[in-house]
Amino acid sequence: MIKLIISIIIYLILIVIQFIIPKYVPLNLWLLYPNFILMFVIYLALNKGVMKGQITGFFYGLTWDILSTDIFGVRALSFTIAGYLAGNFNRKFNKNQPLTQIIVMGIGLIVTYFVLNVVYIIMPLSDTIYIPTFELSHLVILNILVNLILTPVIFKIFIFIDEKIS
Amino acid sequence: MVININAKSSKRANKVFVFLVIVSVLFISLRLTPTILAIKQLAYSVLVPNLQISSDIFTKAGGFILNLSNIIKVNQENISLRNEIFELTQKLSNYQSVLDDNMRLKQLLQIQETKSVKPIFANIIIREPSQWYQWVIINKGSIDGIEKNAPAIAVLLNGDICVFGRIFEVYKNTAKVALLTNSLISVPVQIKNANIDCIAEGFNSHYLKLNYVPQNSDIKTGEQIVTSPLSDVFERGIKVGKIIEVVKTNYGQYQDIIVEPYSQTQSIYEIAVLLEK
Repeated sequence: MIKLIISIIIYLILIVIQFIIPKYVPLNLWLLYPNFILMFVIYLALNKGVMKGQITGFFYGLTWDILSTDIFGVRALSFTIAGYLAGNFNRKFNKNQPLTQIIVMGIGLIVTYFVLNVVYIIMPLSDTIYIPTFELSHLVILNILVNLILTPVIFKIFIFIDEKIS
Repeated sequence: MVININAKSSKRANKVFVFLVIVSVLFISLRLTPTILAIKQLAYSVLVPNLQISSDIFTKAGGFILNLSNIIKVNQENISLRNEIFELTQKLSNYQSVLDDNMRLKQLLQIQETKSVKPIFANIIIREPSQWYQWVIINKGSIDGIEKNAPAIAVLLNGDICVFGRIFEVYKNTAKVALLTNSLISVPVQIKNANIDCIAEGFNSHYLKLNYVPQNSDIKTGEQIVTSPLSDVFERGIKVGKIIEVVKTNYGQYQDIIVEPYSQTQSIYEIAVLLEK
């Protein structure tokens, strides 16, 4: 019961960080805002295994889909796959090494972008010809870099909170 | 024994993974059928009130700090405002006569009155960075009279109004706005000086694309785009953006024109949804 309450609180905090705080971010800096939700999914998968990673990915992705105007289910799919893949690194590498965290987060980000683009190309949202995100590569690369640089720091915070809760 | 347990849990994880992928793909392929839409709306109505409370807490905390600094400014403003009131009182006395003149001249020229609208002002409560150009959620919903497809405008720092987006989904206390730059949105617009009607279309980026501008029209960068009289959602003449790139090609009938929307040139926290009276 306590675990469930803690999960709900963490869920709400993360949703607030990802969806409410960004509106206060200066206009030119929004692109540098990290994907905290994906970071949490990857952190959970890497530390607690495939099962927790993919289920968390699915529910956080679904939440994202509920709030967005995007194709319903697209984020649930991409975060589930990211969680599953990251979970497979659990116990295989030293998860406390920043390099491991950065590499796994990088894989998660690339998988997410790839799945989103594939779905958009196969099933476009509107009649507009979809311009794949790879065409905006400098923006995507910048965003990936920011996420990767911040990954060890955010993971440290997650580990600290995790230890306090345990 | 340990290997056995690991293999078992790995098998179970794989099964769950396949199940979750199938559910996601089902959601994607079914799109928003009535059943999926009902599930989405139910989940939304559970989730968003909690987020709204959180958003309010953030806004109020920010407002408290702002209030403190405002109290200091108020005293100084008070003095300058008194002077302004004096000047405005004099101007107001001339206002009514100007208004009467205006009405009379309008009737004389038989200018059609613009349809009257009622603005509903709303705060943006949710905006996600990776989908910055696609959607926002506002704190007004059906209970406040918000209707689907109603136009949303924003007020710029210089006092001008510009097109912001269109109401995409309406819930009891909140509504989702698809931004002008969303690929789901296209708006009939007019190149102001050239008097050419065309369609502005979003493509989930900072810019808009202008469609159906003939190759032979002389369009220059910097020209202003306003809503067209052909638009059934927006009133005519509302500012949309300005042209930043014109590419004339040797093929096709139309030019490739890129527009920077005014709504993306500054931070916007409040918008107005226009409802017909």
